[in-house]
Amino acid sequence: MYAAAASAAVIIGIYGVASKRNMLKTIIGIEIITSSVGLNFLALGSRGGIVDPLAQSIVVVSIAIGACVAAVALSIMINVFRHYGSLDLRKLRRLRW
Amino acid sequence: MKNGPENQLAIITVILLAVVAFTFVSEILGATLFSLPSRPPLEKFLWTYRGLDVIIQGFIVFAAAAAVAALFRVEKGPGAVEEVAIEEEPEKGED
Amino acid sequence: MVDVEIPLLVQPLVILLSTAVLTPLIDIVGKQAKAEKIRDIFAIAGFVAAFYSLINLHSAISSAGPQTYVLGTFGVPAGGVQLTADLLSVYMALIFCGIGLLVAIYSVRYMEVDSGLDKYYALLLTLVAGMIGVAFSGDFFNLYVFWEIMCISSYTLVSFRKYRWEPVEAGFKYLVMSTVGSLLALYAISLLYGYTGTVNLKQLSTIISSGQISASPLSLYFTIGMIITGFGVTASMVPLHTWLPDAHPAAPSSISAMLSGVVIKTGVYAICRSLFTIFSPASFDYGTVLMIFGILTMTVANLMALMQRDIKRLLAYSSIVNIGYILTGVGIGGYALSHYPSPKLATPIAVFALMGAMFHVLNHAVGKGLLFLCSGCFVHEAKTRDIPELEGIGRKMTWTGTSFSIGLLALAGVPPLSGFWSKLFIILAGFSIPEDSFMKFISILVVLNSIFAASYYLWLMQRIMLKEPKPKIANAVEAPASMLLPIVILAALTIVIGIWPGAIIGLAESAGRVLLGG
Repeated sequence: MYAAAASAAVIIGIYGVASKRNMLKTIIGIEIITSSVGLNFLALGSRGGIVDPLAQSIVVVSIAIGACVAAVALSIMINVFRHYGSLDLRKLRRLRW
Repeated sequence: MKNGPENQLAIITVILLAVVAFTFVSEILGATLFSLPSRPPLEKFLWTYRGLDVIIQGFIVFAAAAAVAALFRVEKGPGAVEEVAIEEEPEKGED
Repeated sequence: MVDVEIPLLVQPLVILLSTAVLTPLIDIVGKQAKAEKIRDIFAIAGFVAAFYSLINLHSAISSAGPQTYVLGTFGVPAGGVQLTADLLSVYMALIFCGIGLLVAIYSVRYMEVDSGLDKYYALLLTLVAGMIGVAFSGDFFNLYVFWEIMCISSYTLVSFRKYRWEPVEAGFKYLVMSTVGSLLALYAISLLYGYTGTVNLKQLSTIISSGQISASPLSLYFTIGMIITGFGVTASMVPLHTWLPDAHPAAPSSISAMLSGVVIKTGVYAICRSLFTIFSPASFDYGTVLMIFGILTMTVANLMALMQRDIKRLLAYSSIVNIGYILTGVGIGGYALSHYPSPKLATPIAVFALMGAMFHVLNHAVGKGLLFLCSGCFVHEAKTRDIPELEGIGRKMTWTGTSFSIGLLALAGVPPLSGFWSKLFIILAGFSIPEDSFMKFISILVVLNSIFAASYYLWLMQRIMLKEPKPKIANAVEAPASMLLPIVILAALTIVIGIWPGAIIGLAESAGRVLLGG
């Protein structure tokens, strides 16, 4: 049941990345996907109340990686703000063809 | 939710993904899961079996620190000049 | 001193990662001593040491068989991390490290006007370390961890020149698309973990091929689809390629050479390794999908490449075309194995197709690296990337222009150069079963796309080399020697491989066989 919720949350995260106009919401969507995939690992590894330690260690490492990706993403976003003056993703249209 | 075409495309994608996921997640729910091998709890497991992952994760943190330092460095000169070729003028202002 | 014996398998990773961590410290020392180039020399020394240890590893594997390494004393239970190096891994790792070394030599002069170069070299070292780790990992989650170290380094290196708008915009798009792709692949890993209880590639393959899990083939195909999509974002397959034409031109030219030459090949390697190892090609048909996407990739990117007036953007689209060739080659191998299960018929064809694909990985890495480094020299002199402005610059910069032409001819598939052989193998593998018209149709499309690509390569060569230079670039001088050295080495390598392909064919064939036998 948690696995179904995790899969639904991945889809919500992908929707967030695809449709939001604000770059910050896009990055939040990426973090939602990270957390949901982690939840999927834990859900598929649990028996009664005990969770397989392999799944736990995978999730621990994956949370750290997600934090690093968010840090780099936010730094790039701040640089975009310095150039374009707004966080609107639709303004990043200068490179088209 | 007034984003127009991007929003509609995203909603269509999400509906397609939801259909696909529903078809397959029901498989997962009905599946009998693997039998859990006996393993030490998390603290011992992480370091005896997954030590390499944690060490490499340490280097990821180093790379992220170098990345943030590089993206926030202070430039002193104009840097390299390489003009890009674009077909039309960049739009300035509101569009 | 402590007597530390680092196993041969782990040596390249240890060398590259420790050099990466020490480079900012060496930079501080260098700034105090007013000799800033020390950090460049230090980084280049790190690459040379890693390349040397990879050559030793290759000879060790050729004589002794695949090497494995496990951290800790417990052997490999279902939870242990395993690094495995077989001939395919070390083949790819040699390509990654070699191109990294040449790019580092090139960057010494090319990047000298930029600041923050200690972080540049540190990130370049972690980029190559991550790629070699992806090639060496025997465990799916370990692959993901090394994949992420490669991705984080590449996002930053694309946006390295953050004082202009273009790298920053391109870097953000690249980051978002590539991160979602990696997370989709991680989702597929979690589904496989849910079915089998392990993430070790060898154990996954035994469990899935023995059929003892309760998943229907349909859900396994869903997992295959997620793996292809997730890794396909970085490999720039067609519906997922839109980050590439923005990111490759916007990056500094040395990093464009790295990205086009080796980082996108890592995506193809991850698809091949995970699909062929875990899902036996005889029972799962993913060759058809890879072939169709390969043809789609080639055709769409060829059409888009014609419309470009930015030299690096045109080269970026041509990288996508070449990934299409490689994916088609891999797809022909998988298709032959799944549709013609008799080993006497299918295995030689599959070996031939995979050998062509692996050989093309090397050819494209060398050729596209050469092209991007040359165009970096052109742009460095002319300060613009616009092809109409760059016309005729090859006449002013003769060494660079000649090497550029050699690279274009090699990728176009002109006979005595290296690209001819790999394309020939892929096309011949497609034609080898006369009664299968689908494979023949695919091969005919590969031939047509190859001719089409040759046409715009020759058009570009004519514009760069044969036209009259405009007054704006009349003062262009030849590039400095340290920027010319990697270019000349790559051009010479192209010619040598073209004339004597035997050694490389042997390497590529053994690399391809690993996918079938492992």
